[in-house]
Amino acid sequence: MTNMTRRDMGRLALGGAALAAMGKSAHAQAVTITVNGSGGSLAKSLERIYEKPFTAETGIGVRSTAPVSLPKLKAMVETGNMEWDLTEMGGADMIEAIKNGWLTEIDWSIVDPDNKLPPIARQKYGMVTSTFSTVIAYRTDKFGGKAPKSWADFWDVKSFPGPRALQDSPVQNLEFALLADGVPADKLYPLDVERAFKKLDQIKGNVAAWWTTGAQQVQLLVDGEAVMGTVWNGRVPPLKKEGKPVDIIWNGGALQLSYWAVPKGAKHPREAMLYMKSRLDPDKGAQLLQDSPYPGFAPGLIEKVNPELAKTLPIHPDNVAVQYRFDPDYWSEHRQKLTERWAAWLLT
Amino acid sequence: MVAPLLVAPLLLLFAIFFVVPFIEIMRISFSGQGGALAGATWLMSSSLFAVIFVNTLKLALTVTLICLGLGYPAACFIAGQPASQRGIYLALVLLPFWTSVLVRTYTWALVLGREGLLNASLIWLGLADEPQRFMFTPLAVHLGMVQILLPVAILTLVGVMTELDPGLTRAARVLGASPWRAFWHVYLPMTKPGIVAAAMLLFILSLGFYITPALLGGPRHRTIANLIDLQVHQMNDWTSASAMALVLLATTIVAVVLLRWLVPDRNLHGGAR
Repeated sequence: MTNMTRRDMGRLALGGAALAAMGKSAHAQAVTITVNGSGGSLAKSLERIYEKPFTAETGIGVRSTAPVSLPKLKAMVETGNMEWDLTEMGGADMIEAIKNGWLTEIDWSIVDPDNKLPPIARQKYGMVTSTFSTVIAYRTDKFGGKAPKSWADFWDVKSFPGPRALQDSPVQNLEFALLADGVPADKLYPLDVERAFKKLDQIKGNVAAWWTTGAQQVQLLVDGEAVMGTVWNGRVPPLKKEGKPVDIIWNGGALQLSYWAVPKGAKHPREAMLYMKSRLDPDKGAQLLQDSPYPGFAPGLIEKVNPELAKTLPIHPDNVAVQYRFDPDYWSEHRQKLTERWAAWLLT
Repeated sequence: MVAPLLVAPLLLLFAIFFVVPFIEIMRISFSGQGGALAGATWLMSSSLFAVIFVNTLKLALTVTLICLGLGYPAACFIAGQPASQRGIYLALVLLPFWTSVLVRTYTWALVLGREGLLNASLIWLGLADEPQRFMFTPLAVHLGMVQILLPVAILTLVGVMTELDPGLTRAARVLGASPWRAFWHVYLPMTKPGIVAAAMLLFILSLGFYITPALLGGPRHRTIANLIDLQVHQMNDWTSASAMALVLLATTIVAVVLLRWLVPDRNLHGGAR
């Protein structure tokens, strides 16, 4: 350095600035956001409808990962090694994550500058991307033409004989038990836990399988391992299309919201929020509904959907009327204790 | 000077992938939100943990005993074959051993399911009128685990048995011992190190089983490993999960020490000649 003339220094500085500028533009092109979701066929639809057009438009790449996992989010925040820029989240997980400070506030001036979304979808730490419901599914060929209509029928193994399938979790199953026991849908919370477990005692012996994943729900029904069970509403239409003898009932379903949120420490929060914005496009939303009946709140979406398809959506007025509104706050507060009780209850 | 260098890569790997995570697990289990003893308090007070811990020990013990019972005669048979043919039999044992545990477990689900092979056969043979429940029962868990661990038992026992001097059993017979007596007083004692080594391996492996109880037993037949998974994924309670992981490790160490004490070290590695 000592032999360097001033001119050399100047040249070097210029070159450095040019290099830095080049580096910056190259960097801007190379940004790839990582979006975590639930995988499966939905991931393929999202890639076609949202990810590829977004990359073509903005030059920002999108890499998708799975599955949705709160423990993974926790681990990544705590080790400061955040892999995701955006992640799908369930309602109760959302509350847990907010409580623990694992999420970044959404900048709504990027995502929804014209204030088009209804307030329910615009939350401080997340955007509602879709609605779904946990409902009863049953084999149409196993009850001699009769069809179950309610949770009381699910419990009625005399009129509707055959093994049942439920999720391995107290979440929603306690509500279902109370509905079967005659509690009105709007009087469920706070849950009468004792009454719910007592009612569950009656069905436990008839539950052949306790599912943990979405793929299992329908596999159990298709394999005949269960003749009635709980499923997420979107899992059944593809089976019906294939001609499988299964159907769902909306009565007593658990209507829930699903979110997109930006984790704390995400490397490209701005780009992630730009990508979030594409979920506001009603045409893309309608396209996605062809593959997956989980509608969000994109303005004008419902008008774009044909009435036949609309009837299969959890937010169709007829369906909303018979479902109960799942309360994530209750479960965020009580999940840990009730899950332990649930696991112990299963052993006996 | 060269010798320490030769083990250095292994030690490094061990330090990075075992010692460091282990210290982290220790740290988590003693730094819960409810204070340093929150994990321990949960372990002491949770009836869920107590029941599952006992169930896991029982399961590991029965699976170990069944594997030894089935594996011992099979190993005797293989060890008794001429060396040229032993390879064929060993290959038959190794083939399932090399197949993924997940694949073998799923195959059991196909066999034991309501509309599976076993039920179809029972109904076809007229032995049952309607499908019986085999999945998610203790029977399914035991079947799956025994099938997966049996090769471990056989291979360990064959290893010891082929090292034995067949002349000793023959001598006993020549001197007038009945076949049973020759087996009981000569052959069996010589294979004891093999039995202990196999039992140790089987018990330790069974204690940590995760996939097979999860898929064939379901949540009503959880093991400690499944409970750890539940704690992390459903209950978001890493403190209790880490505390349980330490208990599992401690149980394994106690089991190893106990078996080593039963059979002194020098006899464990083919020292029976």
